[in-house]
Amino acid sequence: MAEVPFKEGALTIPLVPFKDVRLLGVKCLSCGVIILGKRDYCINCASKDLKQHIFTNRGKVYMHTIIRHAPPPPYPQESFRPFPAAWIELEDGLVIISELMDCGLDDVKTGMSVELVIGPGWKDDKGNDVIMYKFKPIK
Amino acid sequence: MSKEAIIAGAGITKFGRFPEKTAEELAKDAIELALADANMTFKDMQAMFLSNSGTIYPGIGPKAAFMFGRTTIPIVNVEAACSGGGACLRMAQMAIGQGEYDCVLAVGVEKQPRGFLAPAVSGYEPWQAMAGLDENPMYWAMKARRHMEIYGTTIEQIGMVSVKNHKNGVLNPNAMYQKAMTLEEVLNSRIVCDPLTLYMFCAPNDGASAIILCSKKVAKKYTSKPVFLASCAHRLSPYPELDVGNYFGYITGNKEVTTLAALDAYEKAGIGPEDLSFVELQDTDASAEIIFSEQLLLCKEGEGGRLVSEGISEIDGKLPINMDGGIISKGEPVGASALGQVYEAVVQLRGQAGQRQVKNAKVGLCHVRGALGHSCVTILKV
Repeated sequence: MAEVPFKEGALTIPLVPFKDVRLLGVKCLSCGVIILGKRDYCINCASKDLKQHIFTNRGKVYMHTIIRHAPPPPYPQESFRPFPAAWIELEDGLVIISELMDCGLDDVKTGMSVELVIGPGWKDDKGNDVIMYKFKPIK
Repeated sequence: MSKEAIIAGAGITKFGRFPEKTAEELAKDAIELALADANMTFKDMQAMFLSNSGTIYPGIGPKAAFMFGRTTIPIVNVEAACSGGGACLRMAQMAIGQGEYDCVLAVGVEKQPRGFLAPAVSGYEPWQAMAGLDENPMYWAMKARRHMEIYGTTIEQIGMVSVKNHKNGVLNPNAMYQKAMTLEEVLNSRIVCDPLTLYMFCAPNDGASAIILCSKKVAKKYTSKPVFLASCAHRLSPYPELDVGNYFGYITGNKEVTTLAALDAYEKAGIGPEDLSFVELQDTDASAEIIFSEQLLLCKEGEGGRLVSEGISEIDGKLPINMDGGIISKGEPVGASALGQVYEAVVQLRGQAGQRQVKNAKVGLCHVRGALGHSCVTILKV
């Protein structure tokens, strides 16, 4: 069994130790936007002039909610507990959707500082550990 | 210049849950009503476009048409998520506009299970579903909270949209929910994703709607109350789209897709928001009505909440919104909902809306916004 990223090209390699893994993507040298994961063309301006970009692991809560109803299958229905989720704006400008961990349901605030946490999320159909990202408040 | 398209017939089924009916039968019901409205038979149709969001099977269009007997006219299926009906009407408009056809049928039909849409319908990747980040209401809830934090929109204003649309739904025999609700009932219903509660959301369901477009040349033969399709615009969202189906973005300052489609539709029609008699818009949840009314330029950014709290968007208000109850009370048969709005606009513009009738209705706007960044804005006039 091995570790595989939640999405090919969206995490730095190697996937262990987890504390050294960062979100990976590209920056467009033409229009300046940053994009998560691999791309041939810029998502914003269609330029092919892209450079690999390793994202910062810190950011702030941009928008947030609490998911109080179990997401549809295949999400495991039995183990569902309400959890906070947010669009996080990283220090370098990427906005990314994430579960917030180590955070009480009433404790999430817009603008709150958070940091990246990398770890095993679930098993894929070959029994590999799928390595997923979450964010947690910076205490 | 392309030829003008006129709506000669409109039909709609009740929106609801009909396990006893196939999708083809639902489509047939709506088409029959539209044909009867235009005093036509299916043999008068020269082309057909059918919108379905992929919940039935690919290519349902011909089978729905064959309910009326085999036909050799071109029939094309259209898919554009919650905007499918708008995209479908645009295809029909272009078919009339380029001059080859005089009578074209646009149909929307959907049959969906109860509860949340299947993840793939909204464009989620499998890992998003495994991570539980594929629940559509979470994305709308975050936008609602942000609107509240930035502009001071209140949860009461959001709740009032739901109260208004349920009140209007009571007047619409084709709505799934025909029950008025108090603000307390809406606010105190179960929270789905903070701050939005259960009664603030629309529910996916079954239904069909059909619109017959004619060229000016033949329209007089079929209708004494012509409704003109002034414009029909369809756009996709630029980057970023911090909404359903997506997982990353970067703040670029690009306009929202609803605004892009609206600007396109206003320009093509030579009509501005100040000219509108009423609006039918995508109330997937109650906060969406507030946010989309701003993106459609019906009011200034941040002031959408006032439209409902000051009574402006009531049927007897200055700019009525979702007179038919919106999809909050009709339910949302995804592929059929946009043509359902157009049906309401036609009935309003003909002065046939009964208790829901907007006084002196001359110009109407219909708006849909769906997954994958689709948005359509249609402007109709008499």
